[in-house]
Amino acid sequence: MFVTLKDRVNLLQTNAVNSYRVQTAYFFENWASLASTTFYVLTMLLFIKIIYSNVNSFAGYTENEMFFFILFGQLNFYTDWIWNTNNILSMIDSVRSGELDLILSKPLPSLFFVTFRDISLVNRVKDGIPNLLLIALIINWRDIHTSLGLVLIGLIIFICGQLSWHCFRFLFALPVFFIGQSSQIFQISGTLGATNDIPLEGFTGSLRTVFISIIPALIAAQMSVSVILGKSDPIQSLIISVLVTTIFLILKQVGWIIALKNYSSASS
Amino acid sequence: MSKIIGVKNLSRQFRIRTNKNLFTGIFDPKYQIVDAVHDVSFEVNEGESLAFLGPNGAGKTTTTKMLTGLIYPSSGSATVMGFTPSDRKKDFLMQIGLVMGNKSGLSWDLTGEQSFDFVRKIYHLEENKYKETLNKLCELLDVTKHLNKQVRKLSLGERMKMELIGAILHQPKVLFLDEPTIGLDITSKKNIRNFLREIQRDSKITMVLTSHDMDDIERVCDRVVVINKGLKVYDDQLQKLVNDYNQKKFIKVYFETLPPDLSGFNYAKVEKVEGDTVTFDVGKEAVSKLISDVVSKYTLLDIDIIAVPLEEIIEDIFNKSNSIPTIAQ
Repeated sequence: MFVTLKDRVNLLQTNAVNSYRVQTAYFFENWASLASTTFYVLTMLLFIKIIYSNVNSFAGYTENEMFFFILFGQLNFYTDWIWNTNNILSMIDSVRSGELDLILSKPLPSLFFVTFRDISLVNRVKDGIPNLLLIALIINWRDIHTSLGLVLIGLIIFICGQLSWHCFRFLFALPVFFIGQSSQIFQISGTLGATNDIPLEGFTGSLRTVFISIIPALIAAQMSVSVILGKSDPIQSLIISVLVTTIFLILKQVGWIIALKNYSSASS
Repeated sequence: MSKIIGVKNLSRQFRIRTNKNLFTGIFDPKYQIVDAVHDVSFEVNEGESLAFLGPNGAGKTTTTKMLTGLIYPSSGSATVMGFTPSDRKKDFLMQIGLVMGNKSGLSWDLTGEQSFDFVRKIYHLEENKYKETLNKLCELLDVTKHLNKQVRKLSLGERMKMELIGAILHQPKVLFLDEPTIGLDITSKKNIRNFLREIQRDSKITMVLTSHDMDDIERVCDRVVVINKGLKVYDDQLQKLVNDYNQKKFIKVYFETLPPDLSGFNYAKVEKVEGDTVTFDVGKEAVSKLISDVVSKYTLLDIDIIAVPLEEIIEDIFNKSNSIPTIAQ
């Protein structure tokens, strides 16, 4: 291994502290994102209330289960926001500006560093906790039928979903190494995954296969919630999610090696 | 002195898309292959201070990037401290430093001190030693008072000094500098040149400098490699280069009144006439004769003997190398 696990943990800690320092450098900016996400969650909850005022079940989900699904959807969103999208966009900028030169010339595990350079932990937790609490308070927890085993498997699937979705989007950013820009190509990956508000059961047949194995958008929130609520086979779902994640992690690693070989570095 | 950098037949090609049409470009993109560096070979000894010189697009920075492992060579080989740079081994990266004049390695939203703390962690620098080195470098560059300022609030000169500190805090064996004084004012340039000379002398760092600024080269480097159109066109000691060109001198004669006829000095070429001052371009062997002739024939206010400036020497080398056909295909 290029660096030890301890080095990587130290790097994560340092990046988290530096990200916190950067975010808190601009006072009023810190609170705007909280206002924006709260407004989004409120409109989302209102939308569900309106839908369920006319139907009792949507894609096999009761109103209460739908709130539980929204909770996971939001958890997925905040987790993604803590480390995923912002780091990929930073990487695109770094390649374009040539800043990547100064990363590659340091004894850092470069792929690990660009993946976890910006860890917006404190700010995203600050934005996420009030909203997640709000949704959690609406859920009638007595009506959520699950078990500790299903929750644990659901959480593993959630982590796999985050990783595979990150790798998928990362691959869309790599053309920047070849053609000098990939912001719009990267946006395509985001659009392909804009399925966050529909539960897994809303997808059937080949559509479900595509959105799990080729575009891994349904693993983190949809598949994990389906498993936790006992709507999907937990072992089968776990195997599929681990398999898909492993393949995407390999693709990301291979893609990075090829990209670096083609890196021409911005002119100085 | 032992060899620390070895470059053999190093080449790097870039593929440039020529058909940029929105529609036809998709099906028939058309590419042109450009040789940024072509068959360059040289060696650098430990502790040496080497300058890469060349006009824009000559291949200097591309060579530096290949030596630091940022880009892969298309052919040929390079070794730095026994490592192949493009392998980007940790032991290799721990021993090099890189400063790029127009790229920032410091985070704009953090202070210099916070950025250096990051450097300390990634190079595993021992706390006391780190503080000692940081204090010393900050004093040498006179930036101690700026350590707690956000990098984006620093002037260009102050930021460049911080970049330098960040690149040498870990005391690298080889320091690569790409245009380190670009855009700086005269005082900042001078400070940085003196600093580089000082650390190179004291710490025996091997330095590879790329610059357009001849003063950088003169003050910091011992040896010059001139690259033009991707080819190495000169490689020798700076002093030898200057001596080679010292076969001629410029003699600036300040006449009390400009002589009506200067044709009597047919062994010297009149380079410039400004008011009553004439600059002669004369061979080294004829300097005494010219001075003796003008002193005996005319009333003079002053005489200056000027060596050929380094800029003109380099320009001459560029001009000679420009007769080489362009490598671009």
